[in-house]
Amino acid sequence: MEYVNQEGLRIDGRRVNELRKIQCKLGVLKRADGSALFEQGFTRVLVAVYGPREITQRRKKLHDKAIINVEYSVATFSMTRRKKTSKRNKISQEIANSIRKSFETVIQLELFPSSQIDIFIQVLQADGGIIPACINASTLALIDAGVPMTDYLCSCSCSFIDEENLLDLNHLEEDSGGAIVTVTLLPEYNKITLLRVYSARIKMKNFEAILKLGQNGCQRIADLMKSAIKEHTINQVNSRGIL
Amino acid sequence: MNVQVVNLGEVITNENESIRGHGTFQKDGNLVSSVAGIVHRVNKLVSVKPLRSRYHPEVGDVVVGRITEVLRNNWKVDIGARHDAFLGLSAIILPGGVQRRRTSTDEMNMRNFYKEDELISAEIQKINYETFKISLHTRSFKYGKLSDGQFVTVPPMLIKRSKSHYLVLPNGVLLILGCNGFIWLSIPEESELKIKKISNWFISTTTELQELEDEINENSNKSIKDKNMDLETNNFDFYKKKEKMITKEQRLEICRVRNAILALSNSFLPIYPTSIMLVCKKSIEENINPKEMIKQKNMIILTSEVKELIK
Repeated sequence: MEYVNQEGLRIDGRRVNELRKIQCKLGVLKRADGSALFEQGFTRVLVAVYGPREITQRRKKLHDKAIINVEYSVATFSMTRRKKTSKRNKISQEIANSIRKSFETVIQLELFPSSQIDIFIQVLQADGGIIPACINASTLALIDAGVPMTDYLCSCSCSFIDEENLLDLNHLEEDSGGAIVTVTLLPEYNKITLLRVYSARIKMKNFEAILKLGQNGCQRIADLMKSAIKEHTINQVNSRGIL
Repeated sequence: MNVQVVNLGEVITNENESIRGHGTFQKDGNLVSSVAGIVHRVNKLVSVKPLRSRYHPEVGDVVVGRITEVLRNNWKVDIGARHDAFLGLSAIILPGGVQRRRTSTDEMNMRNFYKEDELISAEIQKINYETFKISLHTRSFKYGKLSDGQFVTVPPMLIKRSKSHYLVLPNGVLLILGCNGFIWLSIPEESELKIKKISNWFISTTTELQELEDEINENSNKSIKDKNMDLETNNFDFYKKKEKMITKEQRLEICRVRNAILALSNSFLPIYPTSIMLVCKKSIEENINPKEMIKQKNMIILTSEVKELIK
């Protein structure tokens, strides 16, 4: 199968270094402290954030900072074939764990001792780049909840297929057998908090170029998220009766 | 309106003289915002308030909470803040209004006072900022167990701290506005309360508004006095759930007030007795019954007057 044709166009008509269309909706769930619906192409993720609130798992209580509890679940209707995945299986737990560790670097946990912040992630449509979408959606939901953070956390996926560095893969490109690199970046500091390489091995000579492409993609996603938040905040200020 | 809206990570100021408040942190000599919200400046103190946040407790706030746990000599109460609050056994009124030291018998009888999942109204006595322990007390007759009524939740910033949070509206509905955004609606004890039919309200001029507020205060004080008399009679009756006889009309009024509160919360307008009554009155004028008050288009109609009043 040809992933990049002679004109340099991919399966969905994008160029090699183009991101998919991104849409952010904030405050979608009324009962949650913060919520966000994030769409990157056909990948849709819904995140609800609760907290900081009273800790429920006493064993994990920390006296000097808050703990983050991430729950990652994939809807049965989200993939091409109906598949029931448990929240407790090893893959979901590993993904939840890595997301939790990324957010521990940005959220100011020392401000909330003996509390917990819950991030509940629900993948509604899975069309490649699921984990980056989860991280981006979680960032937006945390900002909506008013949880103080030192920076945004932006993420995107890239790969090396057909002799080209591709940015923001959809699920056909992910299933191609090439190595998938997921980069999670702090845009202001330009520092990587989470880097995953999976599905196949990658040559060292290609790695640096892919990493740079991934970082570039994350910066562009950061700009999009910032403008979405700014717009949402200004809308809320204008539509409210009081400040 | 001259407000400065900042995004997360946006530099607010790069003066070294500013004092860092909530929602900010220092980076490379600049003061950077850690939330997306509005900048508040008080002299040199710069802080950023996010548009949505959980309830931030202050000493003296009247709150409505739900008992989550019964511990050895206190109860744990969920008030929607960062931590659950504690209601100590020594901080409640004993039946008969007696003042004595709490014994182990009292500790055994804790569930006769308050059980899990019951709603109470209380006042915040003190907050220990080091361990963030919130202590509540119910040492007054207007606080205590809530029963036979309806519970509503709104964002906490909509409820301003005012002189009285225990109010009886002119249409006969008892309203407890918890500062944490938890609101309780019920029917007060019977007495000679001046219950006016909503159609007889005139809330157009400021003098009439003031009269109405005076009436509310009068009714509320009467209701508190009645509770006082009730307390001194029986033993555990103060803590028993009273099965009040609530008529259909009273239930309709409670629903009307509840939907008025939801309409105000939908448009993010402040919730206090005058605004609630303006919405209720409008619903009668426009012939909208309580069931239809929560429809989107009706909510806009109902809150239009309040929006004018705010501006």
